Amino acid sequence: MRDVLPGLLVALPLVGAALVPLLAALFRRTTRAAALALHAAIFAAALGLFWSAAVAGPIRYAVGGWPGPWGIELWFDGLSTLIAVLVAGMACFASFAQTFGPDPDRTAPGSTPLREGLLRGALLLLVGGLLGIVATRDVFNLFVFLEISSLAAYTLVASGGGRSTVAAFRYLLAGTAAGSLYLFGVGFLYALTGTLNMDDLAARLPSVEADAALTVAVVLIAVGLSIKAALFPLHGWLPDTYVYTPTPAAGFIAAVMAKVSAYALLRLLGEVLAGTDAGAVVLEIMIWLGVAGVVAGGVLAVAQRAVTRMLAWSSISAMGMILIGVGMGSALAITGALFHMAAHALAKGCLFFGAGGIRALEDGDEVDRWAGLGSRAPWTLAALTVAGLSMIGIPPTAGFFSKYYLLSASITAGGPAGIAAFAAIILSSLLATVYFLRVLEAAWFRAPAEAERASSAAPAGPVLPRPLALPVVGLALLIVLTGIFARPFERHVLPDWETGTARIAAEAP
Amino acid sequence: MTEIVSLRPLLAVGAGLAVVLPILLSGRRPALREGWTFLAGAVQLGAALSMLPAALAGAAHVSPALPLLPGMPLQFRADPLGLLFLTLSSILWLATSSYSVGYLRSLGLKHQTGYFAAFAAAVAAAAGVALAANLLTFLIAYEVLTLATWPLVVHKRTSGVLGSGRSYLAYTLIAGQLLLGAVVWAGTLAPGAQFTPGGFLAGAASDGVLRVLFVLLLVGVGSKAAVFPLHGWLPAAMVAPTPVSALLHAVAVVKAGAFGVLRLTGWVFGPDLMHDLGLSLPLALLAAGTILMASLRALGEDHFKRRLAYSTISQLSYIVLGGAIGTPLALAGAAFHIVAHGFLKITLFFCAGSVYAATGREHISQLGGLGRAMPFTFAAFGVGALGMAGVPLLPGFISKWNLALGALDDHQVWVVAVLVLSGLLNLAYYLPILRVAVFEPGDRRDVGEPSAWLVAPPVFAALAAIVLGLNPDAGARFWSLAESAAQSVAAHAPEFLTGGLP
Repeated sequence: MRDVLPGLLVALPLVGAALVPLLAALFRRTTRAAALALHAAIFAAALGLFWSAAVAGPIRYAVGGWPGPWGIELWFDGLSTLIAVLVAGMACFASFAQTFGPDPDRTAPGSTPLREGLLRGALLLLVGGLLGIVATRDVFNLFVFLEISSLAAYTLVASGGGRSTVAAFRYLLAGTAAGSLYLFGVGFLYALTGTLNMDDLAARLPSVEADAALTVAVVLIAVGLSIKAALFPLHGWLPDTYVYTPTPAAGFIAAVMAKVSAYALLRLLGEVLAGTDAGAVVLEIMIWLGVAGVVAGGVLAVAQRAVTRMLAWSSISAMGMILIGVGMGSALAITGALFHMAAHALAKGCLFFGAGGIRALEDGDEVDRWAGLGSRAPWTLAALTVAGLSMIGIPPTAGFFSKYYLLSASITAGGPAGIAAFAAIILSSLLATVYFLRVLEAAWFRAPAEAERASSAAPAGPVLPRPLALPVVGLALLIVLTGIFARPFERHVLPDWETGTARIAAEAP
Repeated sequence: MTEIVSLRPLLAVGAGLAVVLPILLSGRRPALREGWTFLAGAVQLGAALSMLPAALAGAAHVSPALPLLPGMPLQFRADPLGLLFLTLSSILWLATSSYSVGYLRSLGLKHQTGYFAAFAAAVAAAAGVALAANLLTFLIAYEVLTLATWPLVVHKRTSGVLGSGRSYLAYTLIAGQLLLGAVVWAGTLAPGAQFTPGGFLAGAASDGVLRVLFVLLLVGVGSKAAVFPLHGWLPAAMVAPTPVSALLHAVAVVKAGAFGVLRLTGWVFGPDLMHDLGLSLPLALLAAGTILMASLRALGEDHFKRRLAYSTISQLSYIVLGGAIGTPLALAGAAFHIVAHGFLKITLFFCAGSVYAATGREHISQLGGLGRAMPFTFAAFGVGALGMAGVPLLPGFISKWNLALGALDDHQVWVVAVLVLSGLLNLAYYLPILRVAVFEPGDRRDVGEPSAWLVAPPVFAALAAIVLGLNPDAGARFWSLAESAAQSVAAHAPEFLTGGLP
């Protein structure tokens, strides 16, 4: 199993991405089932790899039988398989949600079976790219997967038509700049060391003279990936992208896209480049930018009137929090960062599926539109409430535990950065309290305005169609379960990280 | 302390949680719905009583630990102090539930299903606060308590009420976040952060760090306890239906805060460390200031429930005061005051609610004539009012007497003066209510006692208070629990047993 799964994990989505549109053109009926089955298979492969890495140790897979440092290697330890499980799992929900069709205009684009097939293909391609980033051990190969995932994402973002085309174009500009910067950085590294394999790089870097070229390489890589990870103040593309992306794709993109880039940052800066002087400085700066992002994202989220835009700003705050953890680099901090990736992905996916669906069906995105939804759709709203509480960090939801780890890491780290991070995380919880409870209060305790009730064509039925309601409720359950039963995760993932960094430190002459 | 691993603590905490869903699902059948509530209350009370003998024998039932964070499990332990609070909340929950049935029906309030569900969740969370074995478990229960009581506070759903709800959440959730920070911090200083009689933080960090940590923790728990200047939400929260106010004051929120202060002073820092850090006296002064200021504020308040709210702010600071003094007698008095105030204050709130349900009157100046029209209700009210003032043969006297003795052990004579002055102020703001109700003429046409659902609970609570005043160890053995809780703390601070400070 350990010989087959690694290849399958990356190959399945890429092959599927080509097959599904074909199926859609030929046999209309099967598209949806085939796409779902593919996503389920990918998810199963990711789970299998996670389990296998936990039980029998990390897996090194040489693509095409060419071992590193010449060939491309895939690397599956607790860390990468965890993110793979997260990506593949969220993709299952997103694929289910795609049945809902693009919004806000539910009838126009996406109505033809071929178009639906193409969008499903784009989602599979996106998943393949992200899984590739997660798995690869080769810095150039990482760039390739970064571009694959970006291209697929632009397609999905633009599929809503209208404003989303503009958002996609903006995202494309930022993403292209990010990719180019990253590629330049890789070029410098290659010139300095003559290798692209991460392990090989880590082994050779200590013997490289710490000159301007190395510093430029580290900075270019850090800036490139930070744009993709929406690290404040490089977050400009994020709000419009999240808001205007059609709901099924938004739930997925908002949940995992930036996180995979943060994971790449963790791999490259925290592991491969951590030994360099420039790497250490960049990580320190990242903590401070993370702090700024946590606060700025929270404050701007409070200022929003539209729910999806508020969620987008809250994502910037959350990414800041994750990058604080990456910057600190201690075992506790990495646990917190990974845990927050998982917790935030589940909650944000849930909220975007829910808020997007409500925006489409209620014909508006303002907080007031949520008034009275609690009595119309108690179960859906209960699920969204759980996600909101997780975002605030109320126990026993997953968000509480990730915050706990990050706070704990900040206190242990001490110093100005540690104290600033501690204060910022507490402050962000308070801001999240303000902006989420405003929505929940409207949904549960306020009646819709009289004029609304008279004029609105909103039916008195469920507020979400099944393709969105099921992911929303499922994710809410996962949020609670992840919170309570997360210790095994920590037991399997952390040692891999620690032995990994220790091995790299030991290999250094 | 011997530990018995058993599922009983889980049963006590889980009973309320387990019925939330059944209550929500049986909204169409009110009898069944309220049956779930009474069932859970009975189970919780049974579980509490079954753990009583072990606790008094120096052992404690402990739930299996669910590992949540490194070294920090979710765990419940039935030690004497926790059991005291748990038993009190189960008894008063049953009383409040029967009162709620009468109150909601006679006023025809909406959203009754959500009301009972939130009520069950809130009591379960209070049970979790009571039995929490470490700071993490305490924090989780505390946050759940905040959220579960929010729907109860904003029950009427008007925009003014929602504003009060927001102020309630602003105080409690901000404090909750500070508490979170403090719990994380304490967890890194002392792994596990398990409640230990006599405290677990001694020597864990420099004095300055510990002082900052104390302030954070105190703000965290003190805002629920409505310690000055964090009391602003409490009078505003009087917009809630009366049974909710009764529960908030006697058991769930405010009392959980006061309970948290006791845990903080006795089981996290410990009286020794508090004295060494110079925290005892400031905290005692803060409590004394709260007692007097809230009493003075109550004098000028004409709104019936808000006057009771100020009285709660004042009374709960007795508990804080006892925790600050930290001598065995003071701690025992403070712990017993949790019980005494619980029975007395719930009586008073029930009476205020009955008046509102029967006549719609909310202000004290409108009470004229009602004393004769509603004799049972106002007889119960009289018992509660006198008990609050600390009149002998009622439980309030027992707690205050021990508080005073405990303060004298610590040579803090001024505390006695505060207690006496506060007792007089209590009389000054409670007796006029009785005077207006009994002696002033008023419109009594068509006014009488409300239904038995509304009369029985206050009478029961008043009778229980009288029994406790005559024999504080009757029934659930509250006094023995309070005493052994105080002794367990004192056992780790030997110099206090002799009474004086070095």
